[in-house]
Amino acid sequence: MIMESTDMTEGRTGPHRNLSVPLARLGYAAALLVLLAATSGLEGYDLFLASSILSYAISAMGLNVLMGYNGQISLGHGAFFAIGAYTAAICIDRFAVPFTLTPVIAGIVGMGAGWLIGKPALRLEGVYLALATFGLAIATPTVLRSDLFAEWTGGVQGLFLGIEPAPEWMGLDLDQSIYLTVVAYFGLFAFLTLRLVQGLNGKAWIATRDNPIAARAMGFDVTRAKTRAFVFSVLACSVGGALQAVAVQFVAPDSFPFFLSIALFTAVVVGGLCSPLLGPLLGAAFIVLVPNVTEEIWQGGSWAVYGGVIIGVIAIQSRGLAGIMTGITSWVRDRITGQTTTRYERK
Amino acid sequence: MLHKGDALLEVCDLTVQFGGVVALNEISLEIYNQEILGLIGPNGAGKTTLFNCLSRLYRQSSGDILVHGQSITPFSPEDMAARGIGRTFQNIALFETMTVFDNVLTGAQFAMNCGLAADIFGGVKLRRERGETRDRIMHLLSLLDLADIADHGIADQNFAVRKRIEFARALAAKPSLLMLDEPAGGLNREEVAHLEDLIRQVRDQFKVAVLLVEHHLNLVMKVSDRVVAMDFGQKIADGLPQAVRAHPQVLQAYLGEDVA
Repeated sequence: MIMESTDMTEGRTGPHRNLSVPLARLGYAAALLVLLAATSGLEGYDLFLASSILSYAISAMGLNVLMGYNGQISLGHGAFFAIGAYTAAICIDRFAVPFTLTPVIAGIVGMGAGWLIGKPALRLEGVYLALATFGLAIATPTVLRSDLFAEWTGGVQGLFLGIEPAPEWMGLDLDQSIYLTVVAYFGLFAFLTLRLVQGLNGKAWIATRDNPIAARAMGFDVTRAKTRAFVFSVLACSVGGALQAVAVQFVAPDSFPFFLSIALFTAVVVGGLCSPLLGPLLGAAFIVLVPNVTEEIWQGGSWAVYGGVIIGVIAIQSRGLAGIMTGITSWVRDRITGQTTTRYERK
Repeated sequence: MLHKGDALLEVCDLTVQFGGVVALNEISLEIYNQEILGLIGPNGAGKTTLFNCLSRLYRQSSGDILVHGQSITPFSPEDMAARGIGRTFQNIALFETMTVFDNVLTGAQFAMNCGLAADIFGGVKLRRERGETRDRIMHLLSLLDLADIADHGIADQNFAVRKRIEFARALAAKPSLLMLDEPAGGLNREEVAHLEDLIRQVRDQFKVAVLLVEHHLNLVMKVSDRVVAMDFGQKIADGLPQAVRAHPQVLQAYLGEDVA
């Protein structure tokens, strides 16, 4: 398990005092610029893939708070992804809401659903919570397909999202408008996740995960910490779902099979638990790209590769792709500077 | 009585039952400001039950516990830090994946603004508040000789250092009563001697009362201002260490001597 470094301690002691924070900020700004530059660098299908990755990454960031920092396992967050996606679709289909605003409404609806489900679900621990949430994931496609809500959800047919590109004076085509919207929400959630994880809420989440009895003795409200982690993860998943629906411009029950929940789980763990931004981003890229790319190279073999890579990544590095990447960069840095970087690792 | 004035903590006729078993039977005791009270008794005497009742992990079947004259019966374990009651754990319960600094910080968080908006938006006032807490904790760490390892993980620390980190975490809450659950357990003779100094240092520097629940009789007798002995869920002696040590019922409980 990784040692979480936090704002409260960062740059406090040692010769690099007050240097690490501005450096990190510079890194975030550079990453955001790269994402913005991609708007003109990529086009068509590639831009769509990028939008997909970022919207899954938003969901994975939320789920990482729940699973990584707070140590609760959910196998059912695909259901909240679906709730977000359908909320966006219905907003556009019925109420002609601008697509840029649909994630906000999806987030509110999702949080309501998450709070209702989370209250009873959070009495469960470990595998029981995992199984209960998995039940949610299994039931979702059937509910979406049902005739009961067909008037709103479009039943088996699903719904097309009629999306208008940005006003002409902005000079953006439809793919670019969608992509930039996704980048904006990604930036927002990256900010929210970092602030919470590095703040006192992050402490409450980690303390609750590491030792609930000691956490209570220190005055942490364990139930509140769990509920906040759950609701935040649901918020991120429904916003991610809404953006994914906007990017695909279509929702149907078959887009939200129970495997979607497993894929989100995979993205978080393969990406790297407790790596707040890099992990979810790499994990999302993994679940979006691996099935697509391998299908071109080896038809019908993509699941073998998918499974093989999962096993490989976890076998090499339990901290996932992000752990492998930081391992490589610190190895390179050590070679260059001739120093050994201290790495806090649990035995 | 040894002390005059109002008690910091009063336990009044406290009874705890598990099913039909009476673990505590109408125990009464007081702890005064800045007093070190040793609580001794053989295994099964009810020391840990009393400790857990004071931390609100157990609920009493009758009787009451007053802190500064106010009953703590309605409160939960997470409320105790705010009532000025800090504790350490018998088997050390640190947060294993946090740094030493962050572990100690968790002791102070209950008095800080932990809202979602506070974390997200920050602000000048909040930054000053958190900066002050940070400085206070660094000061605390240096008093307890932990400043050098503030940014280190817990996993590398030996048992004695972990105990000190737990002390620091409990003290970060600025408690008026610090409850220590068998702090000498697992320490060698030299470390027990250090612990003795540490307990006195903590009492003098942080102006706390200390409730010391301990098997290690030598430590208790040396460091305590007053000792309470328990057996079978009842108080059998209460007084100065040497008096309690010579008390016939205490001798009987510990040595099985029949002092009739």
